[in-house]
Amino acid sequence: MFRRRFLAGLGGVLAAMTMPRWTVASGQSDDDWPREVTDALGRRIGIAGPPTRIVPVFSSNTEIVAALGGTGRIVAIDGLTRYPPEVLDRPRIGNRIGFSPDIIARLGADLVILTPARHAAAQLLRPMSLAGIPVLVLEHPTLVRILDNIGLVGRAIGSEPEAQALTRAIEDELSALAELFASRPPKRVYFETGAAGRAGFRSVRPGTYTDDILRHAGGLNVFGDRTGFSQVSGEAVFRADPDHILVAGTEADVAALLARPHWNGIRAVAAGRVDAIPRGQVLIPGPRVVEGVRTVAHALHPDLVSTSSE
Amino acid sequence: MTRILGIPARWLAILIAAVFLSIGTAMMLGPELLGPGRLLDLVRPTTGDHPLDRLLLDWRLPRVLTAFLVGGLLGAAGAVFQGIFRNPLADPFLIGTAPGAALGATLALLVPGLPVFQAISPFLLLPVLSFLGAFGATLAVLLLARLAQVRDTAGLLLAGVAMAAFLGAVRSYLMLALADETISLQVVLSWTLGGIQTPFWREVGLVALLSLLLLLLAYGLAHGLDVLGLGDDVARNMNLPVERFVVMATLVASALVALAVTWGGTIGFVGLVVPHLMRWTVGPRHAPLIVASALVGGVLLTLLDGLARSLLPPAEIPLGLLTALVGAPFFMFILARRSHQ
Repeated sequence: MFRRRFLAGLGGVLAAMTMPRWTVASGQSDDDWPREVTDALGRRIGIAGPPTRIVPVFSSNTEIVAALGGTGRIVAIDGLTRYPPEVLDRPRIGNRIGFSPDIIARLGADLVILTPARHAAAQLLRPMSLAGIPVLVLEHPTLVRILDNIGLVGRAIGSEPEAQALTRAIEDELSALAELFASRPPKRVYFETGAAGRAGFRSVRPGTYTDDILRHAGGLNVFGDRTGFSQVSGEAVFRADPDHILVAGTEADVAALLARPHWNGIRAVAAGRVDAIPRGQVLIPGPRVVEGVRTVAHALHPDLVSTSSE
Repeated sequence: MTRILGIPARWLAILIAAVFLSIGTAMMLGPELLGPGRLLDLVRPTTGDHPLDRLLLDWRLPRVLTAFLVGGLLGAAGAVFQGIFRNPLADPFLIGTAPGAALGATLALLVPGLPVFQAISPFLLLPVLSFLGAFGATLAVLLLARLAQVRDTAGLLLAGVAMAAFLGAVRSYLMLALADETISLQVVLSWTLGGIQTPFWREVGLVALLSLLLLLLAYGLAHGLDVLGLGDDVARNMNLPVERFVVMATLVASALVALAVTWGGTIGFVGLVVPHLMRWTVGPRHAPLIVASALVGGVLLTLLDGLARSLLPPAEIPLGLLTALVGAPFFMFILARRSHQ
């Protein structure tokens, strides 16, 4: 049922996308520009007109702009972005080593959207302000903030209807899922995001959007009452005795987990309740988090939730 | 005074008691602390059904023993390297082993799918590549030194520094180039900060056997290291083929370090501080020094690994971080003592 609603929501987005962009963007009133938005750093950013040359830094920001129908307006992306496929031919403005304000300026960007990670803010904020290019800074500590970010980007690029349709579709799916799980206690889950071989097991930390994804999918982080270190000991996993184990990764990562010494002594492993969740769905704070919620929900509650591919 | 393996019998008795005590203590340490009574329960015939029994026998005991072996290897390797370089502040990671192992581990963790790795079982890729990296780096340093016609140990040390810088740069580049937003560099960081890789029981046996073999080889170097300590000229006059001996000793010590790194990642300070401490206790001769350093290195790492598992449950503190926290102040103490003398 929730899938129908989600698809209807997506349909709304698609319908909005097929309309002439600028009439939609400035649908409320044509003189809505210049406009001002407040970003995660509390800065008020003035945007002169609907941006047509956008540089989103980091996958999450690229995915948000693309999901709002802005793919055609993306003029460059960052070197580590892998999704969506339509943007992968764009010039790259940098990677883990650093970002180039020069390339952004040379491309004639009229809006940069970034997240304060990998020194992006430190390297780009000042040069961009000198060049007179507005920079929108987004943060994503929680799932709610990701939805807020979609709204904020929508306002900044003049795609409010698309942003509203998308956030509504996501919210509808989340509440539909919540209804499904209402009568059922959450599954206790160990959610692993990485391991250095047979040591250095890293668990999803409480208070993160990935932890929110797990909760919205009818799960409960077995290490949810602890903060601080994300590296947990194998003994702690064994003693926590989770109902289910999720691995952010591929089937190969699951196979590696199953082959670890003595992990078959963990009940969830012995019962085969170990699943891989694509990393892009749970570790990139963009619109695909809702797919992450659905994938996780299907892994934890296969009797209640189908996947989009089924 | 009776001496066994060159160590005064009284000291050896104390050391062996410390070994058992540390293993017992480490068995009680973990996310939940246990009393000695719970350990004694394990030897009763009804053992095996309770989850806690399985935790202790399957998870904790093999890990505790591995930590002991890794510490022992590092302690002995430190004693040998300090003898080779005639410098009591030499570290077993000086000639390329740590950056070599880290490069191997980085490849195993970030690009396990490379076609060239397909011959190795994915489960063994990390240990195999970290061992090859550690030992290969030492071979490369020795080769480099030979090509550059370096004849003294100081030159060898400098070749090691050059190799470390080179391998470190390659690894940093790979980390920057290979990772994307969904491939976490955190796991590489975890590895380089050290941590005992949990072994199967059969692997504990294999590591123990290999460790014993390498430690015997190291023990066999003791007399040569004593002679080397008198200076190259004196050593030559005493019929020690200095250059060949240095190469051989370096290879043996590097094999010790490589085996340790394979099961523990890069764990600093144990190989530096422990032999130093032991020199104050059993004297400068290498036979007792190597044995005592191995035993105390094992004791120290066993206890620190226990703390790593139990200080902030359910978190596990990277072991190399703890050894550095404990080792660095001690190192400063040694330096201060030296300058007072």
